[in-house]
Amino acid sequence: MIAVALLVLLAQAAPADEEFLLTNARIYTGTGAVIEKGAIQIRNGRIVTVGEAPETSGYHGGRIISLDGKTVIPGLVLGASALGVVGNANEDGEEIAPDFRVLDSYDRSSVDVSRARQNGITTALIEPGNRGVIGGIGTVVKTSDRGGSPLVFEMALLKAAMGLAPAAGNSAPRGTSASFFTRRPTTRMGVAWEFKKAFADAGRREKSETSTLQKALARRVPLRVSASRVTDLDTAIQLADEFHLTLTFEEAQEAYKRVDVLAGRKIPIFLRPVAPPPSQEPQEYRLDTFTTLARGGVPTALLPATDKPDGLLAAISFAVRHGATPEEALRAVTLTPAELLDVADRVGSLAPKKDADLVVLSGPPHEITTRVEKVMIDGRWILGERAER
Amino acid sequence: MKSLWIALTALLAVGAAPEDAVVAIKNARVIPVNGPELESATIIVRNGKIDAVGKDLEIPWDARVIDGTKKVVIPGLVEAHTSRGTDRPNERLSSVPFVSTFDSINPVDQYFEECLRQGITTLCVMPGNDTMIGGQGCVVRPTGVTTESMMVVKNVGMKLSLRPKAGVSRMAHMAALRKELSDAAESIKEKKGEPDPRRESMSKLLKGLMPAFVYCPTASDVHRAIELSESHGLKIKLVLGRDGWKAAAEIAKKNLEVILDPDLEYWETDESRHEEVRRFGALAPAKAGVKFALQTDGQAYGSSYLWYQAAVAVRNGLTRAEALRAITLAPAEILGLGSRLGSIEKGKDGNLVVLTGDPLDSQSWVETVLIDGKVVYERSKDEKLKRILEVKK
Repeated sequence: MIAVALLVLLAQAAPADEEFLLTNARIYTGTGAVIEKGAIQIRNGRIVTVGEAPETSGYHGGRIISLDGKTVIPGLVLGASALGVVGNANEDGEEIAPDFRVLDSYDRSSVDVSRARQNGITTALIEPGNRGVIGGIGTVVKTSDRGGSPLVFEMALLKAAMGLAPAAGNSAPRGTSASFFTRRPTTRMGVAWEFKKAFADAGRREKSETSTLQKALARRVPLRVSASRVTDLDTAIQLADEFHLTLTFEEAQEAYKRVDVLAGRKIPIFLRPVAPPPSQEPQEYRLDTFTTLARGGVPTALLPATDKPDGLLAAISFAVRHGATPEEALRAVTLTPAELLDVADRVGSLAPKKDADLVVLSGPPHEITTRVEKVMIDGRWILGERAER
Repeated sequence: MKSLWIALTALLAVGAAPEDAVVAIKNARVIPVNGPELESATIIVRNGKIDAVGKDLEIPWDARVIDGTKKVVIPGLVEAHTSRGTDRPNERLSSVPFVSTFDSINPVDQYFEECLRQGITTLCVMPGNDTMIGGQGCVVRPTGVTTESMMVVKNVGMKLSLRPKAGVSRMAHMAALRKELSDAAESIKEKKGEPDPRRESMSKLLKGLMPAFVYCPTASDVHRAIELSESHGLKIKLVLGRDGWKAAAEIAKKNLEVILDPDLEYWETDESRHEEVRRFGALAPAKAGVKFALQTDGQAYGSSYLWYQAAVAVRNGLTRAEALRAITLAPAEILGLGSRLGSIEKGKDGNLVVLTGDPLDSQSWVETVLIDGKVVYERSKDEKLKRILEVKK
């Protein structure tokens, strides 16, 4: 347990509109600690202190907002998504598109971003879809649609995909129109070959600051591979070894079969905790994959069970149902993904100097009966408490 | 040696009373649904029926005893409307009143096994929402190797859908539906007395002997369903789309029973603010005093469980009692089985679920399921569940 310092607030004096105090809350800090009767002091959109609720009679720092004993958790971090990516998330004309930036397709005022933030998702990794072998650059954004730039970390990762997703449905190139259905590859081996060729070519080319592939080869940007079946995980690990790439996985329902390999190399997993639809290739799905990975030493974050922005809270409930502790499960949708995306200096837990991104719940985060009541991003309410609409 | 002796005795006991004529669940927290919860109570099931519920009951000497200490007992859950467990829920022809899911239910479908795992003991398997006159549905229990042995009520109702097929307008759909019903009425009148199995179900429907389960994809379809029932003498129950709650006042006025959409929570765009607004389907019917049942979703994670749907309902403002009733007694009554199912009281069928904790708690598991007083599921013997869930400490 982390020792919790008592707040010393009396000396603080800041303009009332820039500082306020959330008090009388049950706070899950995201690091495993729970403060039964806590308070959070916020100034200019950042957290100043988190601790046990002080006597507020002497507090003159700013407005005091009592949360009436409700639960507060860090804003949720969605570790893989096409949130707010308007239009096609896949570049259907090109299977290797490493320099495409998903940010150019991001619309922070789109409906799915609105739904996501009202469900407590305050930070999201947005990325190209998985129909390209190498899809482009994934970016970490805030889900707020007001205020300054939503950008948190632009060059967060290079998205790739293995298996049949980038191959199925393709047919041999013919005619003149470039589309997903008239280009390579059409097989698993074709996908691997395209991947290999792209990195081999990039390695031979003259050094360029603008080449994302060269940045990946220099381990300055991690590779994120979407793969579900273990054979595709194996292929990706082999390819990453060949080119000395930093590897992370998403989906990864069969990752439990390689827990030793993944733990040994500390390859992070963004796990989609759900059986694939019957229409897809069959997988050996297990209910305990999260605990097997997380307790086996694999850095594991949880994704929602569907592509819908709802459900990251449900992922906590089901992780707990399937054996995780509430603290483990909450960490897997807050601090763990923030760390794995290299944005934990700003988001992922309730701690001093971090962004004031938080969610007020009606009860414990792992209960299905719990409701999202208020959401704050960068110190502004975007849901509840006179949300600034 | 001792354990062998116990095993032998157990074998003998099984041999002597294979039917478990008397089962007693003792010292459990009982949620009867139709009355207040009981702490450390006993339930006695005799010959498939609930014989007694209460505290300090004497346990019959010949009873198979299930220890309910720290456990919770609820009535078997009732799924009022589903199309799962069949090979293909929708017939391509638009009017097939003579078909029945009886011929389509696959007893070995994994869905039925999963029903037991989630505490569902009764379900109504209906044709899907895509066929105008879709055919008849059946109430079944999720056990049995043949469709016949699963049957609780064969052909419990006729499925009608007010959702037009792609490319068809609502007015054309309604005109076609009215014509079908009028033509059937005419033909029955003309050929009075002539037996025709193809006409039998339509005749029952038009005489009000068999209810119609009318799918209303939007709230505005509710008044069309009501109009249809009044002009053709149909007895109707409504299967609502997710915004059906907007017609709650109209539904209450006509005293209709409804099955709510599986998407209990959904989003609507508030055009004036250009903001997404969360909507919830169960609160308005509850406030209007409408009898409603919750149903599950075939696809989405979580919402494929009835207990999950009830928990979502509580999250959105329903009381625990209302939410639990909507997955037990209310669906039983909507299916016309309220005197037999849906609550724990003397004389009702011995359909009981023993849980490890509160039914709305995400960490509760179904421990034992009884249907007609027989143990049909035990988690300790659920090899499949054990295989995919072995939590490492």
